[in-house]
Amino acid sequence: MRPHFALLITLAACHQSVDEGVLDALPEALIGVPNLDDDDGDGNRDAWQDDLLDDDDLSSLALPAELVEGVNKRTALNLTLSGSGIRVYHGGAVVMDDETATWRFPPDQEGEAELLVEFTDYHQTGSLTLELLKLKDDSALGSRTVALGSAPFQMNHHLQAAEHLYVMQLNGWDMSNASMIAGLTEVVGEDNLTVIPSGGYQQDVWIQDELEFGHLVGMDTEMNMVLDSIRCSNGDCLDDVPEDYLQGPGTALDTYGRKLYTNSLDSFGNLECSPPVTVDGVSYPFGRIYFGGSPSYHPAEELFGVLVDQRVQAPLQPDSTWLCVGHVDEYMAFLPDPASPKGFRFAITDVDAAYAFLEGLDPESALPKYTSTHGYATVGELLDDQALRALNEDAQADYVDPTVALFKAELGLEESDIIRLPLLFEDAGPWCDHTAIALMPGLVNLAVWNPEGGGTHLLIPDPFFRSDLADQSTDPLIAAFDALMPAGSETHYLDDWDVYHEMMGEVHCGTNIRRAPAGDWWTEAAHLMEVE
Amino acid sequence: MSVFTLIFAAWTALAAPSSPLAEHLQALVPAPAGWESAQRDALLAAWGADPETCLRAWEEAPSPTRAGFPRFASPAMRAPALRPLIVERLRAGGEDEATRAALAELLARSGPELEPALLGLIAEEQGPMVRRMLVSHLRWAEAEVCAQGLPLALGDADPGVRAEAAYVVGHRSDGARFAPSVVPLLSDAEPAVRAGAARALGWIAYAPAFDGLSALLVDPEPEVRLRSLRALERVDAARAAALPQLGALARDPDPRVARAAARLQAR
Repeated sequence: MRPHFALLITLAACHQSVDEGVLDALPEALIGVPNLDDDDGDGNRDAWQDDLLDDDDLSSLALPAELVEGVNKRTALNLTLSGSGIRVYHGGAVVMDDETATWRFPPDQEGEAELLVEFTDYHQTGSLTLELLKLKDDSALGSRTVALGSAPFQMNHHLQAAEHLYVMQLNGWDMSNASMIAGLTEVVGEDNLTVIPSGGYQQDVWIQDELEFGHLVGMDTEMNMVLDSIRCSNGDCLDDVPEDYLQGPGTALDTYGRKLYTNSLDSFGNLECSPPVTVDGVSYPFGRIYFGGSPSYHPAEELFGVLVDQRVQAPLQPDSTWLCVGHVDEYMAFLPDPASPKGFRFAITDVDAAYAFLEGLDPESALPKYTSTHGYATVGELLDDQALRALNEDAQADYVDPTVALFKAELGLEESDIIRLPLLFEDAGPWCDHTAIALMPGLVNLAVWNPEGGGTHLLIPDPFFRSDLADQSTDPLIAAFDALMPAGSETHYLDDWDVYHEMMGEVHCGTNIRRAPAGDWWTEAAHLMEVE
Repeated sequence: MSVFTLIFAAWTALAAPSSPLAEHLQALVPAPAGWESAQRDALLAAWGADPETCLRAWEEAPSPTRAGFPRFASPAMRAPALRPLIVERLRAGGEDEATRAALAELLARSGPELEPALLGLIAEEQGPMVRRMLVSHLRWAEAEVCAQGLPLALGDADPGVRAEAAYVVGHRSDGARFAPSVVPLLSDAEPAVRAGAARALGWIAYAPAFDGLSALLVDPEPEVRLRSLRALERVDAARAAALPQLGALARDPDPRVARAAARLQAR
């Protein structure tokens, strides 16, 4: 068992020496962020550089004047660094790193001094020991060990406050997403919305799939962290969007996996995180990551390994391979619900709920939007399609129900936490070997916009499950969906039909939301840092 | 309006005589026979009605779906009036197979007037994925058209096309009429075909397939075992629940198969 970080802190505190009056001013631990961004804009990650140009992502260790001024011809201050990949700077220069583990603080300085500690990767641990020595006989006057640690990558979940929304803009022949963008603008506000023209990115609109927002959080520093997926490579499709629109001071990028060997499951609509949960007495204060796959068809193992290594959000893998696209966002989502015991509800598609809903409607109800693209002119035709029913029953029994069982076991969900959504899938056809794709626009494939103090807004695909396409108030599916959503949530049904739904995605797939940091992992999640 | 009048109208309306579509239309002058004749007439009618849209549709490229394959999502491309032009793009050839398969996808629910063309295209098409896509449309075709098209697909050298034939039958409300031709696919050499046939026969609950489906419960491929179990449950749940193979299947290394077998046992 490796001692966890809290234990390191405790052990460090026990090393206080006789000269505690001076050394006690030092902190027990210094927790920072890996310096993965590019503050000086030179195209190189700051952690790869030895200079500190414009860099504000190092952790500061202040040495009090009493200590600094006590270092002279008779008294030395020796520093010893342990842990790999950590650098210590003084006066703008590296004084300790992997090659130089010890350093003597220069004598005869005046006033306070500052050491800057730079971490170069996630989840590094080490220590910095400061030892005061009497030069006459090298006897120790006292020492102090400061535990050092860098932040793990923390993926965002839907309970973190939304800060900014990104969407691609598409204008094609007889189709555009102007209506959806107008709807987003109305809810989010222009200042919180970045609309990126897709013309320079091969008309690719799937920004959810391209990147995943998260954070690195330290005691006095924090950084937005963006995982850049491997779905596009060599400048294709959205490959350059993270660099063009997100990378910069305070926002770092990283990519895991080999871009030559990608599949649909490597897209980040297939990478989500639950809200905070407690499972069998173990608390996951930042939730748990989940992504779809199976033993024989799964996302890049390299990314999975990195996520496991972060330890704070232990990942789990439901089987999403029954879906043509194969993404977890196609059939489930976590919704903020402050009134519920856990603070959230888990929404998932359900075939019984879908047929109960359909059977409650007039079978003659016309569905003009479904006629040309899905082949169903009325509700009755949907109900009469036995192959459709069989496909959905199989999907429910073989994949959806096991997902619910997995989430109950691994996320501690109870039946009362679950919202069963009346949605059906259809045969995705020859391209996808007859796996499934959302028939009714995947209403669960929604985006959660919940700015600090601004309530919860659910950005949902308009199902157009009605005869009067212009009048959402006549849509029975919208009415049923609204009745199931957490009280207090405001629903907004956006037209994503041509650009997203017909291309096998929905509102969530076409948007991405940056969120506020979640909290102090080193205190709240210290118990998860233990490694067998 | 006669065909020749339409051709004349088309020629005179061509703003860019050197365009690929113009060249193609000019090549149609010697009147072909059979379905191609009807296709030529439909194409020229489409051209006469809206040459600008036809030119645009002739050049339009598909976009990748979220799953990565190409698709024409523009409502304009899906307009029924353009279907003759889509057929013509397929006939003209010269485009990559993925684009041609995306074009074939556009022909869904073509309507009776284009169904002869669908059969002709299935018979002539060289690209397996395009054939597969064309065959998939038989699920919406008139029964007699389906009856003519299915044999082509069931005997296709490509396993994907054979599997597609099974799915067509599974999707049809009159699937039982065609089901006997799918039963032999249960012993196809390709697992995907066996799985597709089992699935389709289960969707239409085709009782005569019970024994053939039972035989697949020991198939080396888990997907085939799963689909057969599911199909048997639909065909005759009580009889399926009594099958002696269920005990072993409840311990199947594939968790989906094990769950399905245990559930069936518990009925």
